[in-house]
Parts: sequence; structure tokens; C-alpha cells
Amino acid sequence: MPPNTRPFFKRITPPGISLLWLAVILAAISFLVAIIPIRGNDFWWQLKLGELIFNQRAIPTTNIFAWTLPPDHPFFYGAWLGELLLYLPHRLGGLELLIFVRNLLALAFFALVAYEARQRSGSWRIAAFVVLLFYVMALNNLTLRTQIWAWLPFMLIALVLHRFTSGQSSPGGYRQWLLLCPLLMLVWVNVHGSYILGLVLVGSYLVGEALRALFKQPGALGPAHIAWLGIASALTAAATLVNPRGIGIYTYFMGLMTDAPSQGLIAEWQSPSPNGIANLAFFVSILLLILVLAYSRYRPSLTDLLLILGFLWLAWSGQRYIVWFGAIAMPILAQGLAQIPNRLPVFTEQRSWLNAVIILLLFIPALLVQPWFVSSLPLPQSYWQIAYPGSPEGPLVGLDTPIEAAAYLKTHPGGRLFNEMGYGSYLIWALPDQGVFIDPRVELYPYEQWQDYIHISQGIQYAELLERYGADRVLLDVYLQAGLAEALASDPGWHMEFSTSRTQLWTRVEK
Amino acid sequence: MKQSEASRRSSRPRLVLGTDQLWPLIILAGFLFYVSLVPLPPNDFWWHLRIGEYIAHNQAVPTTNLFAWTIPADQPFFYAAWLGELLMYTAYQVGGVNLLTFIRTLLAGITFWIAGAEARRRSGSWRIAALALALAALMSLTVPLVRTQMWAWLPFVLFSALLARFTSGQLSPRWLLILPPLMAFWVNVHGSFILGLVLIGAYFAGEMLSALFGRVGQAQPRPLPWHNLAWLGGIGLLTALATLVNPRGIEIFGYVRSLLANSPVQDLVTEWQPPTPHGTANIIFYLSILAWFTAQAYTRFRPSPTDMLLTLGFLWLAWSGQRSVMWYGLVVMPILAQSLAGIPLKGLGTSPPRSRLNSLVALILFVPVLLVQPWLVERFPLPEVYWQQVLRGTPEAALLSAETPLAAANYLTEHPGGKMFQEMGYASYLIWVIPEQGVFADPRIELFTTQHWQDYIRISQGLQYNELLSKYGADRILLSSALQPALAEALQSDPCWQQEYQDQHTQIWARTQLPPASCP
Repeated sequence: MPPNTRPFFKRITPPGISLLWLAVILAAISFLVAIIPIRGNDFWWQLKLGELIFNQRAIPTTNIFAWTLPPDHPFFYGAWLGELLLYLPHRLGGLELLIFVRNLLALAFFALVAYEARQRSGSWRIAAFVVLLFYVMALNNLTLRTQIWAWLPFMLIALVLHRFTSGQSSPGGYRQWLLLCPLLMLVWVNVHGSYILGLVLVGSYLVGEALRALFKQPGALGPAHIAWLGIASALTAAATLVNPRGIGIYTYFMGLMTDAPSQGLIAEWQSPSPNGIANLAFFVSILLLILVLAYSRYRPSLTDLLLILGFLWLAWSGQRYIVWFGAIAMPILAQGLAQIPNRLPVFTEQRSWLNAVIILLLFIPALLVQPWFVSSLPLPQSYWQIAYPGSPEGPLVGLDTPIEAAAYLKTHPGGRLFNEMGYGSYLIWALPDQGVFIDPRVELYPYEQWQDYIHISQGIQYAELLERYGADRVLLDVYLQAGLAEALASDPGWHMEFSTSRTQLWTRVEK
Repeated sequence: MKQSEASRRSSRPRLVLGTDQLWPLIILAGFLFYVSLVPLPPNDFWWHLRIGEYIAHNQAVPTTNLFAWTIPADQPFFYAAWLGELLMYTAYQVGGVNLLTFIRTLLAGITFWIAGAEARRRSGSWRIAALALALAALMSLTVPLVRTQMWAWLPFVLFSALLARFTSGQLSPRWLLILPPLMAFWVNVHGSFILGLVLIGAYFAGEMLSALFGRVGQAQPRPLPWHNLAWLGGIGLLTALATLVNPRGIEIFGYVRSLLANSPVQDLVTEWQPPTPHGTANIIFYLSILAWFTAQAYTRFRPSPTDMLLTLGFLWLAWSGQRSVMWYGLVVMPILAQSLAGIPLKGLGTSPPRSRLNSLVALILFVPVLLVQPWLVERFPLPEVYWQQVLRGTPEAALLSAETPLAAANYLTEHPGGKMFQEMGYASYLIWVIPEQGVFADPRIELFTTQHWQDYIRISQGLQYNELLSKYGADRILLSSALQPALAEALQSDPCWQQEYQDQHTQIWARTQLPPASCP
């Protein structure tokens, strides 16, 4: 029987053993991502915003929560759709469902990078290696926050553009797929500020391919294809205007890029240094790229070169961009690795349905650590020192979340509270009426207030500064604000009204 | 007829330059012009000079604190760069600070010229060499200060150049015999001597890999014969042994390790921090990496394992600390030049004709450089904004940074005493001028604890300064109005302190005689 008339089930080929390599890596990544605790900072206030948007059917435009600023102080919630999307699964299935959604998105993200790496290199083993490297460098960017909604749009746009320009499709075959770019952008611009990278992607491809055509490089696209790229770029750029601020979204973006507190005080906006495992992996990946480009037969196209240079510069500018660099550069690295001349033996691909069974089995541990089951798993004790076992909010809540303190404050409300920044995020969710001194909406607060916050947290001139703001209660984290904890402990002007192993609540003594 | 013409050409002096040779000379002249005008900050200069004087007069290297009143005078301290300090003082004795400044410029010129020549040798093109030289120079803009490190520039670039030429078959093994005595010098002038071992190690490992696995590509020279590899290994051993020729012997490595692990040094000193893509020098550094990627995309050149080890190793070093960016530039930019030369571009391989006019232009290029040397610079018409950074018309030297507290030190000479808190750079100058005054903290960073430095920073920021100064028993303050504005502002309204001296840049404050209850 000719192949194309065979029944469908006979046309499916069993997976080869090389796919097991990738399956092992993806399963491990799925497992590790699934047990990442929820860190206070960005999550809770974004969840509250989602709740507000859902209940009021409108996007807030002001401060609302901080007592140190007027409640009607303007603030633009650029990621409003991302916040709403955080709230909806939470409303449907609690924190468990939301965490599961994050896990699925992460798996899809890494799978897409692996797929692209495989397409470029022709090797699942090489794809597995680069995905592992990518995971390590992305370690600091997998927390639950609105950024998770940007992963898929980013990777899908990159995939579509590469397919269109790589000549892998029949002429015009991927033209329709280009329309996905503006459609994805419609969502992306409203879920997270990283939408600008979508424009960087389409722009890089457009410029790169135009230059290739101009210099008549082999494999360059024809004028019709470049015109299609141009149209897709224009539509994608136009799609960015479909947001509550219209073209003002760019003013917001520029404001964020030049916001002194964000750029100067927040670690993930700082340039990376070769310290910490994630950053080390990033720097090692650059060395690998240098090595591979030096010895591989692969010569990056002008477009690929623009992508590497552009995203590398971006990653050097801020640690939070490393994940995007990795998603773009690791498939290119894979392509280079595949073309390094070597005398390694060529293994024949052994295909078997047993491999499929093994792949399924590999994902069982990842299934078992999904949020509904994770608390009953025998994880090491050291893990439960960073995550809350049996918290009322749900599983995998980080121990830096002041759940007990918030419960205490619920029954003992009032006062003008100075709080640790991440605690401010949780208080916005759990006790929005309490009001916060400061929270992770970094660009909301003036630079001086952040400096005061840092000084108070270090116990430097805290009495004078708290007096100036009129704060009469302090909710601190003993690890992050050890200086303040020590100072208050010996200050007769304050007494401790509540404490846990990590949190302390102090009240000013009545004179 | 043709033969005599050829012999006339071959006998033509090499000083007749081609047009393309002007390119690197333009870069070098520009760089040296800039370097010549870098003001001399007090931080790393004066205390080194004082130690050099001590060594010259006492014929011995000191081993203790000596100058800081906040820690015991006999607290051990290792003056590892003792020979560098002695050389500084010797030059100072001959020609003052001006001569030292000139020597710095001369050393920078020779160092970068050697790097440029190496770039030319690798690439075969003066124009490409000029580009490599420009990148190396621009990324080193923050480095060429007058301090003991300047004695290490030449050894470093000589190590690099000699090893490169040896492994490319252009030098006989006997040339490598220069390296061990050079190391014996280097280990005593500056802690960067360890890079000499890194260079030899990289060359040895790289050439071993080449010998084991064969040539990487057609563009590579043949791997070193085994007997030359043996020479390299032997010289490496001798050079390593030469590092023991220092007052501490093998403990010099413990010193380097402790410096690399010293928290105040690593966390508080900017040049020990990883570079970020801000500021001209660092931006050029990062652009050079992008240039490497671009070159690799189009070049026919395949770096040898040695060149790859050097590139990766020095790149990692540069990422770890800004002070290593210059070393990266000196080693890797010539390799980049070689890579760029492998890009098929029209016109790069042509050799423009030589002409005496080019030689004249080359000479003229360096006239401005000569005119800004310390003995002449004050007559040079520089913009006023530049003169605001330096002390003009000082008897001590030309181009002293405006942050050198000359006048305040004169005042203190006439009004000594007290336990003084100073700005760190000022302390370095006081060590030179009034060593008996004593300093709170000075640029011998590793001498002081992390807590001490944290207190210094807080006092300088005007935070808890009364409490902290009382903790140390300090009763006088010498502050920089520009670098410590918060402290200056706090003292203005503090009745516990009264100002006893002020000039454009500095202030001296003394504790008032108010009752202890009023002042902490």
C-alpha cells in the first residue's frame, strides 16, 4: 500500500530514542517550575487588580492602596489584561488552578524553544542541551506574575517569523501565519510591558531580510516576501495601539525605562554580573556562542546576527531581559552546534513505542507536584523552609508572605503602617483597606520615598523618617530588614504587638 | 636599471610611512593626548609615594599599618607593590610628580603601540590594526592613572606579544628567556602579575590542544613542534618560579586570593565591580564583543585553540571586574583584528605608497601630545570646563585633580592634631603630606574591615554621623564638598560641630565644647 493511503494510526511513527533526551529535560523543567514558590512581590497586588477589574468592569487609574500618596494619584495599570487573566483562573479554581496554568505556559514556552532548536539543528539531543541551558538562565524569570502571559506570544511570533524567512515553507505558505503577529500583539500589549519586544522581533526580521536582499545574499527573500514582512510589521505596530492609552502606551514605556527607582533600585532591572547560577548560565551561553560561531560551519544570516546582537545588548542592560535573549539565542546556538565538524559516531535512531511510554512516565513526577498534590509529596525539609505548607491562601505560597501577620491585622486593623515592600503586595490583596507605605508598583513612588524606605529598613534615621511620614505601626521582615528590627528592639518608643519567626509588627508607644 | 631601482627602494629608510600607517598613529596620538590630560586623583597616588619614600629611606619594606589611627599602628599589612612604589618615589626624586605623569603617558604609549603592532602583525593591515587599537584604547579610558599598576602594562603586553610571536613561529625559543626575569620584576610592582601566568598557561594549553588535534583551519599556522612546546612548558615553570622572588615568597598567592575574596574591595570599589554597559569605556567593551560576533559571522578566519582560550578567558575576567577590561582589550583586540582581516572586503589588502609627507604628518600628530605634557600643559589653550577639574598653577605638580586638598593640608600643617575623619582620597594625600596626622580610612581598602567601610559610607552620607564619629572618638572632619555633600549639609546645622576652615573644595570641622549631654 502506498504511504499516503495508509490508515492514520499507521502513519504515526513511534518516537526515536533521541527524543528521550528532550523529554528528560522538559520533564525535569516541568517538575522544577511546578515547585517554585509564589514570591510576594509582584503577584498579590496584580491579583487584586485583576479582581477589581473583574468586579468593577473597569480598569483603575489611580493609586488606591498606598496611604503615603493621595488615593487619586494617577497610575497606569499597563498590564491590566494580564492581571485580569491572573484573577480569572484564581476565581475559577483558586491558587491551584492559577499555578497549574503557569506551569502549563512554562512547559509550552520551553517546548517551543526546543521545537525551534530542533528545527534549526535537526537534533533533539542538541535541542535538549540548549533548552537546559535556557532553563538555568531563565531561573529568575519563572515566578507567577503577569509576565507569564508574554512567553507564548513572544515565542510564537519568533517561530512564525523564522518559518516565513527561512525558506522552509512553500512560497506564500506562511503568509497567512504572519497575521498571527498582530493578533498576538493585540493580547500582548495589554498583558505585559514586554510587548515592545514583539516590535523588536518583527523589526529585526524586516531589517535583516531587507539587507540580505539588498546585498543579494544567498537565500534572501524576494521583494514580495519582504513586502509581506513589512505589512505584518505595520499591522503589529498598529496593534500596539489597541490598549486603554492608545499611543500613550509608548510614553508609559519610556517612562518606565527612565524611572529612577525602577532602574536604580530593582535588581532585575540592573545589568547582570557573573554571579548566581542564572547569570552564570547566561554568561556561559555567550562564551558558547563565541566558541560555536568560531568553529561551526554555520554562518548566521544577517537576520540571526541582528537578533543575537540586539537581544544580547538588551540582556546586558537588565537581568530581566535574559529570558528573552535565551529564547532567541539558544535555538541559534543549537544550529551552530549541529554544524561543528566532529568525528562522533552517528547513532541510528531507534524508534519504538516503548520510548513513548517512557516519555509519558517521565512526566509523572511533574504531574505529582502540581498544586493539588504537591503538599502531600515527600519533598525535602529544606524545601518547606521556603514554602508555606498548608497556607490558607493555597499551596506553594512563599514563606516571605505575611499570612499570619495579615490575619492578625485583620482583627487588629488601623494605624498608618510602614511595611516591607513585598508585604505591601500581600496586604493589598488580603487587607486593601489597611493601606500600605510602599509596594512593588515601583514607578508609583518618588525616588526620595524609596530612599527613605531603604534607610528606614536599614534602621538609619528610622525614628525621624517614620515621624515625618506619620507612621505609627511597622510590619517588617526580620531577614530583609534586620537593621530596623534590631533598632526597634532597643527603642522604648516602640513595642512589639505581634511576631512570627519571620515577621514582626511594632506599634508606637503612646507618649 | 630595475635592479638598482629595487635596491634603492629596499634601502629607503623605514621611517618613510605609507598612508595606511597614519591610521594607528592618529589613534595613538589621540589616546595619548587624552591620557596626558587625565587629572591625577589623590586616591592611589600619594600613599604609594609615601611607601616608596619609606622604602628608599629605611631600605626595608614596611609590614604594618603605619598611618591609620582607627586601627593599631602595628596591624600587619602587606605592601605587595613595594617595587612599584619605590620606582614611583625614585622617579619623583628625579623629576617630581611631572616626571611620573610623563612616565605614565610614555608607558601607555609604548604599551598600546605594541598592542597595535600585534594587531597589525595578525591582520596584515594597518587600518584594521587602527580599529583594534581604537577599541582597546577607548575601553581603557578609565584605567591610565598614575599608580603602581602602570609598571605592569609593559610586562603584560610584552608577555602577550612575545608568546604570540613565538607560537606563530616568528621568534626563536630563546626570546622566551625574557619572561622569567620580567616576571620577577612584575611580581614586585603590582598584583596583576598573576596574569602573566594566565597568559603562559593559556598559550601552553592552547598549543597542546593544537598539537593533539591538529590545525583548526587552513588559516592557522602549523601547531608548535613538540620541542617548542617543551620550551614553552619549561619557560612557564621558570616564570612560575620567578613569582616566588618577592618578600613573601609563595604567600604572594595567598595575598592575591585574599584580595579577590576581600569583601570591601569586591563590593565597594567601583573598578572591581563587573562592568555595565554605561559610560564610554564600558560601552566600547560591550560593543567589542558584538564586533566579535559580527566578525565571526563573515570571516574566513578560524581562531586557534590558543586564541580562543585567550578570548574566552580574558572576556570572563573582564566581565568579573572593570579593572580587567584593559587587559582584555590588549589581548583580544589583536585577535579581533585577525578575524576582521578574514572578512572578504575589497581594498583592505592594498598597500598605499610610502611618502615622506606621511612621515611629516606622523610627527606633527604628536606635537599636541608633547604640548600637553606636564611641563607645558598649563600654557595649552584647553577649555575652561577642563581647568575646573584640575588645580592650576600648583607648585606640587601640573594636573593635580581638584580633589587634592592642597590648601587644607597646608592649614592642617599649621593646625595639627585631633582624631580626624577624612574623605578617603584626602587621606591618601595626608599620608604623604602630614603622615603624623593619622587617617580614618584610606585607599588601602583591604586594611580596613567591612564594618569600618560601612561606617565610613554612612558618615559620608550624613547618616548617624554623630553616633558613629563618637564611636571612633573622632573630633575633627576633613570633608570634600563635592563628594560628601550630605555630611557637609548636616554639619552646617549641627551645633556640636564648628567649621574651622573652608575653601572651594574642602571643609574642616571640629567638635565643639558643648556638654556631652547635648552632643552624642
